[in-house]
Amino acid sequence: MENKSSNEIILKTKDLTKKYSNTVVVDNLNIEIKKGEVFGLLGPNGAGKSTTMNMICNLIKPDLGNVEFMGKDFRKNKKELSSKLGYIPQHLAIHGNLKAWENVELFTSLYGIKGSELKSRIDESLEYVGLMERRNDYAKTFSGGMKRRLNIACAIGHHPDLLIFDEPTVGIDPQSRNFILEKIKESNKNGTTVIYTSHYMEEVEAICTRIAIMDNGKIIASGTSEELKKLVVEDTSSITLEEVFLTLTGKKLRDM
Amino acid sequence: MIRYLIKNNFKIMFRNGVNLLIYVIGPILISAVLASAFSSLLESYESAGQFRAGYSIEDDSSMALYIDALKEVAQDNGIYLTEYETGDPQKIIENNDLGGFVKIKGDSYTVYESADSKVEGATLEYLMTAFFNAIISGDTESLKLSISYPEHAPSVNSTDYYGIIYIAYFGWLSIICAAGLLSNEKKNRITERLCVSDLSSLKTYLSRLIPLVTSVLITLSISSFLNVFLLGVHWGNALLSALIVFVSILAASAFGLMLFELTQNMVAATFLSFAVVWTMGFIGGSFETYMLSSHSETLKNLMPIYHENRALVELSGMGHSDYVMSAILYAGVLAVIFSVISVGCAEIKRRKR
Repeated sequence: MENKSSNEIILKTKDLTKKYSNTVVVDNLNIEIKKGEVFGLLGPNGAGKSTTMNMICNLIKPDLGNVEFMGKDFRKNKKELSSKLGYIPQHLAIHGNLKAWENVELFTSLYGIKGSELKSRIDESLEYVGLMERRNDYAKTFSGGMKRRLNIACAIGHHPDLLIFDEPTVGIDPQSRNFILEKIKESNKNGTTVIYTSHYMEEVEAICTRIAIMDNGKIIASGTSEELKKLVVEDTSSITLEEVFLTLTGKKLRDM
Repeated sequence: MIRYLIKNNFKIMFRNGVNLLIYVIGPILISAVLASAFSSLLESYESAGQFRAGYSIEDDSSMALYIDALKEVAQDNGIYLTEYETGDPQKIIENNDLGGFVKIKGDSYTVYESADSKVEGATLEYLMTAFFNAIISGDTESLKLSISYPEHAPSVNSTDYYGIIYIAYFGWLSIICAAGLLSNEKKNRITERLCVSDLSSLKTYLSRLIPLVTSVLITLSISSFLNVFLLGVHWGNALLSALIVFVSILAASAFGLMLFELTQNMVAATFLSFAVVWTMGFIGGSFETYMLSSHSETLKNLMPIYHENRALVELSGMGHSDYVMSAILYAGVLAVIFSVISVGCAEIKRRKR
């Protein structure tokens, strides 16, 4: 994908480290995400992707290091900066007993948006994910793909500068997946920076301007899709991103 | 804007049909069953009515002078005293089907009662106390007593008692109403989303407490109205009773949320809540009436539900109760303590996270 990012750093991790018992899950991680880019984070199961995401979103406290967001220490300036971040978790963090618009209202209102402004943001978010016609239906009646789209709508109503997608296309049909990817591209065109994690290589290749491959808590390679391929072979047309990934991380099963 | 969160959490709780059914129908069904089962037991509390009692008096007793006056006052109040010169008081009561027996010796007396006629025994005791007080004040001539309802035994039938008690009991189980919301928040990790938005621990707590108290209050109000119309339950002072129930629901909801905060497990929190409330109810008169229970007063007074039960029942039966203030204060203080623990625990976890 064409890189329209600026050189301004929107998010930076400095020596980010997290240990569980004696296992180092994230090891002195240093990544920089430029404003306007779609940054893909790849890694096998247990590589430390989710822990990294959770530390970036302030859901887990790092043992060492820090996250700098918009030039400020995120943990110390959480109140000011949290409204600039949108998090789309892998799990469907929505209430089945609420209607689509009520779910969006609940999560969008957390950022201090109220009244007529809130109403227009709800409509805008539902329109964006193609659920406007189902706004009055309960989320529990939705298909898997619709729930995924609603999950996204709940995170975008407050117009964040940085959107974090944690495997947003798990378990949905190709049409829904395509719709979500198109929307991520659209958001990025409108100036939103995106961090995207997935196990689907073709997705990452299709939407990400820069990709980092993570294993054992460290970034083992990063760059554009072409740059990563060149790490393995000269002729990049003869290799897929998945082959690069397997070459760099190995073929051994991780979750045994 | 926590009001949108409160509003939507309330909708989630209120849209749970099972909760509505439990809270509206549950108290009516249980109170109807128990009221029917214990109706004869509680009928005795309505009035002792007329009954016969025995007495014996030593010849040299200083009370001998007043015995005719005592018989007259007793008769005015439906108690017919007959003298039995010798014999064991308990056997005399049994053999002659008496409501009680007074043994007067010197300048003191002892009241005997049978297990089957506790109210008659209490009435007789009340008569003797009042009469002795009158003798001390030298006023036996003008003694007028009304002893139909001794102060410690309100006139309440089983329908009123259980109809009121089970509204209070279900109020203490308010965690059930929050189960859907809390388990969904945990299962779908919705709390993570709340954390990302930097919602404070206090706001998160209030966004659960306020809708929980409101939904329990609404459902129990509906149940209470149905109880009044279907079963004929009498609430003494509707406003004061509503205030007592409201503060108790506040304490109960805070208790349930605290258990959830401590265990982070809905099943464990519900089980613990049920166990504690059952124990409180067992001692505090939710199953066996507190008037007849054999638990010590000290133990009963430790149970907040006892204060609530007693205040509500006495308001219904007597129109007033010395337990109103203690019921409100006890539940109010508990609500504050449980809330502080909940918010404190959440804040500690938040800072560690």
